[in-house]
Amino acid sequence: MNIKRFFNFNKTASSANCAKSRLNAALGKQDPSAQPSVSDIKNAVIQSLSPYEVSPSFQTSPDKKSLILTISLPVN
Amino acid sequence: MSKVIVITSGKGGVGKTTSAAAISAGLALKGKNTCVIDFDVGLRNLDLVMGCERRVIYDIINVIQGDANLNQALIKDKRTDKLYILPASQTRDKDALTLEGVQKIIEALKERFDFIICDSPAGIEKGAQLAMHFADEAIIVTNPEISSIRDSDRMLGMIASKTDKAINNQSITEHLLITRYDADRVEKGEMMKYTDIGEILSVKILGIIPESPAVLDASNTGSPVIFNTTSDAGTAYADAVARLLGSDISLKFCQPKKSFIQRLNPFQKKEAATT
Repeated sequence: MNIKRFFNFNKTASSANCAKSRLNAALGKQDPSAQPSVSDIKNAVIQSLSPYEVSPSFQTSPDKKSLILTISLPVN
Repeated sequence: MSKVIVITSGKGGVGKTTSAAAISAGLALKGKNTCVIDFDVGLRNLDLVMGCERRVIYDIINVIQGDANLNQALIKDKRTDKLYILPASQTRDKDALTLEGVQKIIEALKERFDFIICDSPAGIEKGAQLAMHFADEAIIVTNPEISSIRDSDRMLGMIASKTDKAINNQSITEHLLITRYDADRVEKGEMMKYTDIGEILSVKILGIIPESPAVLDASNTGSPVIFNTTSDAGTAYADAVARLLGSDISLKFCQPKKSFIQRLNPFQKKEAATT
């Protein structure tokens, strides 16, 4: 029985992760362990700026390793 | 004939919801049409333990208040054909539960199900009283620990005086389910023995559920522990369900586990008896 438990220890760990993600979903929270995609971040920026009269745009950097965000603001 | 069974304890955290999930799943596995109702309005957890929290759209309060019909609120379990869950509301107050509303729901469920399992909230307030009100039988869940046993005694008093059957001078069949039992600690004198608990409460023991890591694993994954047929707790719940259905099965997990060396030594018991 103890040998069985020893070999099953990863199963216990995964059930704890299962509980964590189920609780996050049940409580309406985002799982902090989940890595957001570039598309998720772009959508979050667009959504958060939507109430304002600004137009965000995204461009890939010359070295193609990052995304450059430009926000155009009307200047008085 | 349909039977209404309340699972209650008085004290919180003793395993009412775990037991309600396991027993209702066990009855369904035995071919009985079963519905389990969460009466813990405001603090529902049965949906999490049953693994259907993302499928809850309507709840018992919506049905009582006429916002949804019973069929809309019932969630069919995906692992068994004969099990349904009626969830509680997470956002409403316990006062939203009414005696008339609960009566209507129980009467409607009686036409469709063989067993209606009422998962009672902790305490002795309105939710707990309504959960037990229409019960034909009661399962008192207790830990081998003094505060849990005293609270169970209080609940037995309420079952014998405040339920519909008690008011009409009829008796309710009472069963005792002892959870988190550790026979090794009983042997060492650190925990009360199951026979003492049964004697103090004067209730026949339905089952002894041993302390088991499978119980936490089951609630983590949203699968009632009775589905884990290789675990001690799963076996103990299956036996309890069989006893509930009338089988005469002897109690397991009430003796300490012998180590490998103890099992090899045939004289050890005799030596212990002579010292």
